[in-house]
Amino acid sequence: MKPNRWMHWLPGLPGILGYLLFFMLPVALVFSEALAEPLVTFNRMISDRYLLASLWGSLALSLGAGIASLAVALCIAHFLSRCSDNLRQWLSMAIALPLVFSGLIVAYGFILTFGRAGFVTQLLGTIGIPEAIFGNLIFTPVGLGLAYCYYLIPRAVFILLPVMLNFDWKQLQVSESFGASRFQSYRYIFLPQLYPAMITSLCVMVSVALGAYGTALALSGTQLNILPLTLYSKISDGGTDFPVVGMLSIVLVALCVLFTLFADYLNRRLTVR
Amino acid sequence: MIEFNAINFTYPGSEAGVHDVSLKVETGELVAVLGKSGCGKTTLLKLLAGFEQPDSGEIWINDVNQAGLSCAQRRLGIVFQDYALFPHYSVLKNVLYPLKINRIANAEKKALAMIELVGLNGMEHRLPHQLSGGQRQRVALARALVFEPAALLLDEPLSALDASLRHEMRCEIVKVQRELNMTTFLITHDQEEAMTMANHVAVMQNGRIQQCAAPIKLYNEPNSIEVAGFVGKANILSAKSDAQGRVNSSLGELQIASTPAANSALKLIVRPEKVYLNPPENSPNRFAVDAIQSEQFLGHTMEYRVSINGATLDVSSAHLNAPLTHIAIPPESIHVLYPEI
Repeated sequence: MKPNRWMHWLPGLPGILGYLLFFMLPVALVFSEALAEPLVTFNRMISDRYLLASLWGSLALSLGAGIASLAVALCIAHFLSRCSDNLRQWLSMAIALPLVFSGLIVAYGFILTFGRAGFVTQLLGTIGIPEAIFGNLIFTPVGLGLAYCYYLIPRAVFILLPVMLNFDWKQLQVSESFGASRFQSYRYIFLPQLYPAMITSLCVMVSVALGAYGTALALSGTQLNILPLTLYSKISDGGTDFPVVGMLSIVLVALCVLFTLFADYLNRRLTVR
Repeated sequence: MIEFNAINFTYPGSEAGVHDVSLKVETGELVAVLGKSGCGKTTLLKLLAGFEQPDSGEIWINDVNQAGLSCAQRRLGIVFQDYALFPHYSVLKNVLYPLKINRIANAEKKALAMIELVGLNGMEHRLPHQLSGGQRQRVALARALVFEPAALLLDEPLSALDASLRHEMRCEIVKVQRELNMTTFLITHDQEEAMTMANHVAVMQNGRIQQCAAPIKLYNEPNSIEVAGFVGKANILSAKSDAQGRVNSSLGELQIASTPAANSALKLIVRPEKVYLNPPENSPNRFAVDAIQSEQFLGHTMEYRVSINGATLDVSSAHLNAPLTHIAIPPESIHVLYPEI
């Protein structure tokens, strides 16, 4: 018997229901809150200097952590692409470990290692590095950035690695045989072919860092002025300004879309010449 | 000119490498290194290009000792098997790259002239993935030649192409190489490629050069059983000479063109196509065929494996008008080797 066409969709039904209930519906609710009185809400949002400062703070932190992670990930992926399959497999497993932990666990791990009573802080104290200064570092924006790097680097590594594994390394040999230095070969031959993957990984990392909430909350409480913590403060405890929070979400989505479109534009420019 | 002087190299932790290799490529000459996979021919190219440094011995290019010189300092044009074109650059930019790196004046004009020489006019702005295998090969060749390198190194340049294109590109490479009088070092496992393109062919085996000679000499006068067996098809017959210089082989008594050393063990090399089929009755070295073990139709020729006096012989010929009953081996077609004891 030939099955009805709709039966093909049956296995997908739970997924579709979940998507509608837990993604589309909340998004629709947030958007309806924000767009009930759009101009009034937007005006209230842009006149709140604290809110805008948190937006810029978040962007700076995300971009900073993303770029630093990208630089480290490039070196790691390059090393992995040149080592044996066996070693690469083991190292990849080790590098993937930070992805298993939630942001909160990472933050607590950082506190236990680099906090005022942290293991590394105590060790450094024995060689004369003041514990009060080093131990406070992780509670600053720089420390938070480093904690972000901890779980951003593996993401970038796993985006860059396949591209490097597929790269024809003979191109560098050929380039050098023409008289190019190692630096020139990397600059003109290797990196341009890696730009699309670098941009993609930067996009992913900035998006992840923009929305990272647990790590920021655990490390800095509400002392740091960044968007996830501001959003949290506006809809928890005494905060009830849902329309502004909804409007901020729309701004965030718009930023992400713009960022992705820009990355796509760069991708196309860099891959087709 | 390229010269290898007693080059030795082994890869760390292995026996593989090249041993006591001496070889000379005169200016404007094309020398092919022919050998099976793993014989050390690519290692030789790596040493020449500067990707590896020899453990001992010297490599000279145009009377300059290359010891300690990096790949970049050697100024060699290299074409790899898979071409290693820069996929993010157009044809023109690929060919321009060596000129830009070396800050050569009139770069674009020179690049366009080289593109024209290899027959790629009108394709300057295409990307490598938009080209056929043969066109990519031409780009790689143009890119390797455009900056007037000291020598051209070709690493199995035709093996990625299909048979008809391979023939066309062989002629194309030789044409361009001769036009530019470019000293060329070709690495290949394809006998036909080596024999048709090269002025001299060096047969390599187990990291050593077995013989280096002009293609015709290499084919007709191999210096060992290994070379005879590797270059073309060959019947290798065991024989002995007696005190009077008569040669007794597994086929029977044979006349040979030269007088062999008395009372020696010999190996006789007979190429299948040099054996006469159904020869006249007074032909020297004429034998009756006991049985035809197999016959293969190859289009332009027929190959037979026949039994004669208990020995097996491969012969070939254009199509016969009558059944194969006799064969004759012309004495001048028998190449004699004295195997080392």
